[in-house]
Amino acid sequence: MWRMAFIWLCLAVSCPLAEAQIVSVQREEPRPFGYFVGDLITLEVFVAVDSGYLIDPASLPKAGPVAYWLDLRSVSVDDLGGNPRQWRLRLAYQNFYVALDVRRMTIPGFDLIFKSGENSAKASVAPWSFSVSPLREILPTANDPVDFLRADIAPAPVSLGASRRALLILSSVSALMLGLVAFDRSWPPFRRPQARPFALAARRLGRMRRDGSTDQFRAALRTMHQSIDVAAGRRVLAEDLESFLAEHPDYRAEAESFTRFYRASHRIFFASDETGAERLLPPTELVSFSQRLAKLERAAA
Amino acid sequence: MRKFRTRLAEIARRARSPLLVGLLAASLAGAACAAAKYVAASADNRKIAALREGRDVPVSLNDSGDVLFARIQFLLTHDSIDEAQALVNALDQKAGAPVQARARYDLANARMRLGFDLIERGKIEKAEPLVNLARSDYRQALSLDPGLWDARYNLDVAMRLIRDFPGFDETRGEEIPAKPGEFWTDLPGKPRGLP
Repeated sequence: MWRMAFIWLCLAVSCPLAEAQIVSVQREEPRPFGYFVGDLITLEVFVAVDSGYLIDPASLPKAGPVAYWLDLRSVSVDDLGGNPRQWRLRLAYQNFYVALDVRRMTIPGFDLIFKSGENSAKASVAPWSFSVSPLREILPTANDPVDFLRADIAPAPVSLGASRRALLILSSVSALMLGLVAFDRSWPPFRRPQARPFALAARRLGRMRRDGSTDQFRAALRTMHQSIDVAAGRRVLAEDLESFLAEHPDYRAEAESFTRFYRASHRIFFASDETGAERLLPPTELVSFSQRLAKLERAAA
Repeated sequence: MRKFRTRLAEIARRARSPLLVGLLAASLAGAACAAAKYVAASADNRKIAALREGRDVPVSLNDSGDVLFARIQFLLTHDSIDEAQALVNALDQKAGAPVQARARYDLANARMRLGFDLIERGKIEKAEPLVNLARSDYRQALSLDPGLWDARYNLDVAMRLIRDFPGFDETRGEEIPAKPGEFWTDLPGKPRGLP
């Protein structure tokens, strides 16, 4: 494997003192042949330095054009740690040399400076050469010079597949959720008066236009009675309330309201004392009582 | 343990109703979002199709990169390279690299065609700057998208075309070597040699 081939490079050092600081300079390099114009070439340089020495960022090669035929696209430095400390330099070049025949090109070398306080050490990275191959024959033939060129790239329509799929999936999930919510709240077409008597009562009471008449209040109380009867599966009178709550413990939280409801009902139907009943259980309170029951019913189901 | 489990079941039962409503709201919001995206993408596709058929459609800089590219291609095939160049520059600010690279490539192709035309009519000096611009556009396209093989091929064509021109000297990126230690150039009038 060319990629894995490690080449040991000679160390060119500026002064004898620095010699000891740079332990090694290795380079992992790609294959040195078979490149075309536009190809990317990535070189990795590993430098082992005595700990305490840090790379001088100013000595790094700058991204940008290196020569008229070569761009340095990116430079990245990683500190791999260890002792001696390993530094990895990753250089991504792009070749723009247009070859007529196979031609050897050389990426220039450079020096890296490592610093530790006043001391500095230099690690030299040697030039790297590789061969560039031609893309076309030397003498292409064409009737019209424009035929030498590859054609334009036509604009393509945007792909709708992903958004169409997302739309389909999300709308079917929405429909499913809507169905579940309708079922949960016994909305039409899932209206099950038997199964959700309090939901039905809450809906009916909510729909009543409040005109303040006692007839309406009586009707509302009757509706409530019916729904309690349906919920219990039998007729529930004031004295049956305790057993009803024992059978349906979910409604025990509303025990106090139930009691008040039965007392109001007793007032109005047996004593014909409308004002007393309304004082005991105002119509708005009755409506909210039915809604609270509907909620408990939903949670209980 | 058993008590804990019944309590957990109780909490789940109570939470079910609001949870269902929350999920419904979330999925409706998601569906609305997807629908908006779908509608926008279909509108873009209508514009692209119209431009491809040769009907000019007004395009704003807020439109997606694909629409801008379609309009650039329309302008290039209708001999308005300068207007296309302005849009290509605008495209660099927003779209992804593949579309930018394609736009640069098409722009360079249009310049090359113009250059070939001028060369055939013998106006080589006028063709030179066009081919130069095309070359740098191909190069930029390749920087953006190295996988654009058509740009490599046409860069090859453009480079060879320029090499054929005598008098053209490629100097980009090369440096004039400075002689070390010599700070001042030779002054005229300074006596040289021995008296």
